[in-house]
Amino acid sequence: MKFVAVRLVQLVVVLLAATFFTYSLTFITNSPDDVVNTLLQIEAGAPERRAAIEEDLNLSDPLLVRYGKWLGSALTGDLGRSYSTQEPVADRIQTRLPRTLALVLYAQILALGLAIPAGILAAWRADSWFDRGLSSSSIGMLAIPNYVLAVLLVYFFALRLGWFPSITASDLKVTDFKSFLLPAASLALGQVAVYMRLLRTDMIATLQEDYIGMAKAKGLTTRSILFRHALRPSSLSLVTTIGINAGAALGGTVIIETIFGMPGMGTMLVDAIFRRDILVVQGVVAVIAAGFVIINFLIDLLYAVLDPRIRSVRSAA
Amino acid sequence: MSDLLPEHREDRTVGLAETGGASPAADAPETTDDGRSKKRRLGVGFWLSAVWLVIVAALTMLAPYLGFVDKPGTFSIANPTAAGPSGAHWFGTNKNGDDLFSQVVYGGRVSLFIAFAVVILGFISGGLVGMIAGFFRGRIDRVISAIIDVLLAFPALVLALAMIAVFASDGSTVRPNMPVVIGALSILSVAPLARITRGITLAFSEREFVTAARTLGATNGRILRKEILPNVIPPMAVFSLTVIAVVIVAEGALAFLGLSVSAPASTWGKLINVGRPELENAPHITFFPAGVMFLTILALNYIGDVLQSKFTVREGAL
Repeated sequence: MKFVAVRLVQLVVVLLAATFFTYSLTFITNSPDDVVNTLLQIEAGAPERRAAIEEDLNLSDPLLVRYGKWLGSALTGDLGRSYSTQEPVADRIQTRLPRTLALVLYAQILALGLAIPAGILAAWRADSWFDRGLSSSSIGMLAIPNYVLAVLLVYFFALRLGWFPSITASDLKVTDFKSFLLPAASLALGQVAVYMRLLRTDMIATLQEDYIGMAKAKGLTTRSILFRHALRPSSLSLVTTIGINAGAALGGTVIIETIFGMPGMGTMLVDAIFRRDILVVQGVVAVIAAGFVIINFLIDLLYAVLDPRIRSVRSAA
Repeated sequence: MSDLLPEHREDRTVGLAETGGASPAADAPETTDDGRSKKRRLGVGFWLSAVWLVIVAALTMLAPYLGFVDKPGTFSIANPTAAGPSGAHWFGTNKNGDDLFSQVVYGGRVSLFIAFAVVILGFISGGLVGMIAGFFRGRIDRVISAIIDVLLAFPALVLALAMIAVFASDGSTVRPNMPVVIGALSILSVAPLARITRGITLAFSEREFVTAARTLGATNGRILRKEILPNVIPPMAVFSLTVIAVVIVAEGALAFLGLSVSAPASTWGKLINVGRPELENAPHITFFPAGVMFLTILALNYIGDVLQSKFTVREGAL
């Protein structure tokens, strides 16, 4: 339990640091006057709106107090409103966040769906042609940036073969698997390589254990030994890495969403940056940070569930 | 070596399917993956990677002095079309009739310059911070490590985007210049290099020669400079290769979003992005810069992997 509490504190610190960082950046480089001028420009509002905007952003308070107020309302779900569209930021995030989460989720499912069988097979037949081929091609997979892969996939599967749309609909549903497949695959390939290598290494170690020999002696089938006995104890570092990667994937969605014109958090962020819509940038970064923190916390819990030994070892440490 | 040949053929087909067969050299660095069995020798893949990097470095650095590389903006053709590769234009031309090979070379100049600048920044600042944390330990180490952890934990691209949004604003548009892009991307290099340096320093501070120097009355500063620094630099340099690859990719991502260095400067990422509208009719405009970028990252990663297994840094020390 202590371990969980420590992690929770750590993650909250990450969350605060990330949001404060983005929040203060705006005001370190621009005087409050500049900020208001920009927002007035975005709004195309009359000069009398100046006072209202200053009030909106609590510009009369010192930076820390202002950040505190922003955080306070953010915690109650109020992220301010967009100066370019006048919509509340939280409303736009609400329609877009599920798509980004779905993208990350599908990418992880795809990556694991390929990496787990491949990693197990590679470990089971270590040093076979299959194993060597996989580890060689994994170096190649890691060297393809996700956006390059996205462009290749669009070229072959959308433009040449016409199997999938190259641009997603503006009212994309999270269950529209056909539209999600190419973007998810673009994010997944690099992770397949990482997961596969990790699982292979851990699995080879597990397969040396006595209880695997015991299982063999009992006459269990290979499939049962690999998937039921060896997979779970071999999946610990895999699970941790999924947490870290899910965070990186959140970053990757920004560019993948842009390529596929997907109306998610990433396109919202880029759009807001171009419009200089400060509160939207802040809101999106805060939500991404929160998502990242929550994913990592859940992964940590899962970690303890997977291997009961972790609980006692970690709390003793 | 010879007993491995059949497997290599397998690797090749897999590699090509994966990359869309970007160019004949695509399979080159993949041909060996026997780092474990042959610790002593560097292998064919290593040397092929090294040759590729030398070619890329030479072309990009010497571009202004090479006759066969057109300077950006100076070329004009009577009848501009996007043509495929030919003897006169090795990578073909884009729809303005510009020679793509020259564009890739000049794009690489900017991409690689940014990557090196970012890594040097990370090398110096991350190295300094990491050495201080690893050498003095205690409270200062805890604070620095906590900051590094936060920086490592967060999706770096998102933070870089947020920084660019703020620092690169020019009136009502966003026009990032070189220093802003380098500064924003340095998030990617400072924290990892600081972390690895801290680990190495921690390990070396325990060694006998450091104790000996201290017994002889050397000051902390002297020990750091004369004893620790020379030992820390080689593994840091090796790790930097991987970081360079990461930065090239990240810069490409920014360029893709239109948030890297503004025109007229071009980078690999930008070239890939510029070709996208014509992907259907003239895919070579996108594929050549993408292939060159892929091979460069592959070569950097491969050499980094091989050298890293030579300077093994124990995970436990981190």
